[in-house]
Amino acid sequence: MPFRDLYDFCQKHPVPVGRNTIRQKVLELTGHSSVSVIKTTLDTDRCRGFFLSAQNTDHPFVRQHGTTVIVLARSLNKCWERFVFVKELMHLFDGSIEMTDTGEAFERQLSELQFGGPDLQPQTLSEFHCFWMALACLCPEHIRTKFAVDRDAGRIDDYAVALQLRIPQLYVPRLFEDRYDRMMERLLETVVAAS
Amino acid sequence: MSMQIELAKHTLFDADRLSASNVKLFPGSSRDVGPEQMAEEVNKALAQIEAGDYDVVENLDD
Repeated sequence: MPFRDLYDFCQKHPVPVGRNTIRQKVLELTGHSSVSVIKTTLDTDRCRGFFLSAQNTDHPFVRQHGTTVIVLARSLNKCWERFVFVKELMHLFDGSIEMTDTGEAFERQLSELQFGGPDLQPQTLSEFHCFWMALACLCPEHIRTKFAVDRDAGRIDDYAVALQLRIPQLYVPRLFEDRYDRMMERLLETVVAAS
Repeated sequence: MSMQIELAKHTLFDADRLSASNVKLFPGSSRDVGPEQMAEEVNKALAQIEAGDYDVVENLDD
């Protein structure tokens, strides 16, 4: 199934894994013909980007940009831009129950992103799943394992890892948390089940 | 009243507007931003795009 295939595909690439490389493979695996990428003046304190799949083909926005668009904040640096893009791109793998396709689901998603909750809706869980999926694509496992050894031994710090992977330094520690392995195990199964 | 959220819901999901089948968000850096402010950013971005104030990113070769 697609995400497992993408995960395996990314393992073979040197770092930094290129965005074009990932995009082409995701389009191939999900059967989408294109995804447009647009920059606007988003306030990155509030929102760094978003993914939009729109179905009204008569709408000027869709006529101009297609049905699938990733919007990024203009002010993101390269590492952030890469990570936000890849995380949003992962939503092409969303199963039908993970798609936010009503105003009610959207409002709840906004609330759950801010306040969390004990029983998150699938649409919000997908936000978190795609975060981990993006990390896994941008850091092949054999590289992660080597970084973990070097990091534990004090031979490399988070900044150097971020620089090699071209991802935000803020997220480097997530690669080495215990839950990373658990999340990968779960995601490589769950995303299969949702498809 | 959640004006920005209501506006976003109409813009995104009404059948005669974008009729979205999926919308996902990457939150910003501030922990103090609420749903209304995040919806406002989506509304602003869509308005900018409609007004032609945007850049298309072609080169993802990085």
